[in-house]
Amino acid sequence: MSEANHRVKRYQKEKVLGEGTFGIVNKAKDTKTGQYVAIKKVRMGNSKDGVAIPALREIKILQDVRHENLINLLDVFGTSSNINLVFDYCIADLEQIIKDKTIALSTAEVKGALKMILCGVAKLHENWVLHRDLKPSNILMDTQGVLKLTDFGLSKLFASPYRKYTNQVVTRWYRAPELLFGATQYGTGIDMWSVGCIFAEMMLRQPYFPGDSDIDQLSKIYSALGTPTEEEWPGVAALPAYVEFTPKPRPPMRQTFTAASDEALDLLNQFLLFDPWKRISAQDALNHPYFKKPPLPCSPNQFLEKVKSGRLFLDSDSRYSLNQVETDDPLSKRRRYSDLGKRRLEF
Amino acid sequence: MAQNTLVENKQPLWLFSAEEIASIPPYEKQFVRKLAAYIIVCSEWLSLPLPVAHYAVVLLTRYDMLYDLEPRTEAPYIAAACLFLACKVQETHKRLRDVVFWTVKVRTRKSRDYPGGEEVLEGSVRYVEEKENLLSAERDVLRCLHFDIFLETPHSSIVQLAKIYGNTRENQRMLAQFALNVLHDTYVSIPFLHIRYRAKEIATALVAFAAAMYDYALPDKTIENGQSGQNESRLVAFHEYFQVNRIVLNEIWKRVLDCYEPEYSSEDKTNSLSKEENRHR
Repeated sequence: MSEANHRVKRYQKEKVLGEGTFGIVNKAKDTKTGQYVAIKKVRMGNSKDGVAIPALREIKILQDVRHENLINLLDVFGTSSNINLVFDYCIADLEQIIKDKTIALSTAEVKGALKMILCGVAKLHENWVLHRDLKPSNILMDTQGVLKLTDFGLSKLFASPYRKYTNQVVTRWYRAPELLFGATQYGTGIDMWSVGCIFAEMMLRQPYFPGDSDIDQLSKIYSALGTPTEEEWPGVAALPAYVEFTPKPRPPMRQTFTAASDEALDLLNQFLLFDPWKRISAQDALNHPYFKKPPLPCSPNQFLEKVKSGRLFLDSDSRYSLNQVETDDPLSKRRRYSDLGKRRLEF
Repeated sequence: MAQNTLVENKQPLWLFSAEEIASIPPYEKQFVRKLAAYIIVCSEWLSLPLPVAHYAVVLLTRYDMLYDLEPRTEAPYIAAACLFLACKVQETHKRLRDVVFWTVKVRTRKSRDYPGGEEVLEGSVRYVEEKENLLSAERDVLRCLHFDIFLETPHSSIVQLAKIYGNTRENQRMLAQFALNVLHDTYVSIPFLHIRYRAKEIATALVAFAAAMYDYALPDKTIENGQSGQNESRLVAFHEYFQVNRIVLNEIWKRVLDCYEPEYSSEDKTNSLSKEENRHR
């Protein structure tokens, strides 16, 4: 039996977990280990330019950077028309957790979740990787309650600060103002802005800046944070798509976040600074007094217990079911040496 | 540079033993060298940075170690697919039509029918055929390499070492430029070097090689009695920076010098190696 054939049959699909831009994610059982896994199927056969670049980016970054708070790539295999990425199975995403109002997230749980997110982001930035699409639905919770960043299809290495990148990244609600103004030179600040939006969303239990167009997005940001002055954000007027807004004063954050501590508001403010170069880094955020003062961040297990208490888990496991295993494309190549073949990467 | 800046060694997943590489027949090694040169020429026509072409050569060599490149009619497609994949992985995107155009043109140059190379334009029947072959080879390469497309190349380590051990900007440039030139030659002449040794080992060897060629003494404040670790602020010896074994360095030197034969005789080799050894004694 060829290896591709063997590997497709190793995973028995159970149900569809979700559908993204690049393919379908299925829950499957690894017959070798008995563990559940998530298989992301990315089409590669009919693409105009061959194998999709986001899939290659995701494989490359996840092979290179490994951390508890980043999704673990367990295996990759191909069939005639798809690339299949095998990940740890996760039981929920942060968006579902935030939306489930039957789960009452305490300060310790918000802290615990934010800490896990920041650890993952810090690891990425330490390895010169920008995630560029941080949002609650891209943060998954595994069976141990550990939050893991996922979906690295838009990620990019940012070795050179002068290199130009596309500004068409990050889902609008979590997009930093410099991207909305068309900046093509940016850095880790864009991820930190997204983390700030997620932090605010966890406290509010609804998106902080839910804009329905780029202009509306800026308008919502300015309504919450006031319009930036040239002093607050030097060089803003020189950005390619800069639009001048009627000056708005900054309302006190306390009005919106009534129950938040002073440290929480200070940290949130530092995530949401207009000037991207002054925005707090992931590593500095982890050392912020917010995480040192009681209540201390909860453990992943405590977080899991809280999430399990909600309606989310009562409704799950009943969506779709698929027939077993698709047809596969046997690897027809003649293997040169059996011993060399065994050298394949063990993920 | 403090000793604690030494870079952690990663487990080499794609390195092969000398015996494994020796088991490849000489005619096939020659064939891989030809394909490597083909990749380099195509990359020049496609205006690709050299590291992208080098990346492609390593993918090709890995492929050859796992699955031989027979039948030979398929091999140029595998080489072209490695180049196309390297472009994607290194974020230097090229249109498929350009890759098809130049890889076919270079491949068919000097043939009886197309002395200047066949020009396959988008929309033609030949284009569809060539495109299908290239995309099929791309999937083949990915699957044969188990989708393990991450690899480290010596380029950045060479620049890093040159910056640390060159005492002036001029010397830094001289060390880096010479080492990078030699590095480029290794991808065409001895591509299997890159699946035998770690990127950092090759980088260290080539910077030392550059220094030896220019008779530039690499600064090293290692204390003579060998108890050098006591001074935290000392600049570590060049081979210590990436924790490279000196025996490995000598092996790489010999391989590199072999590809420049007969410019350097074996006597020259021994002399320059001994010179470098003495400098660090």
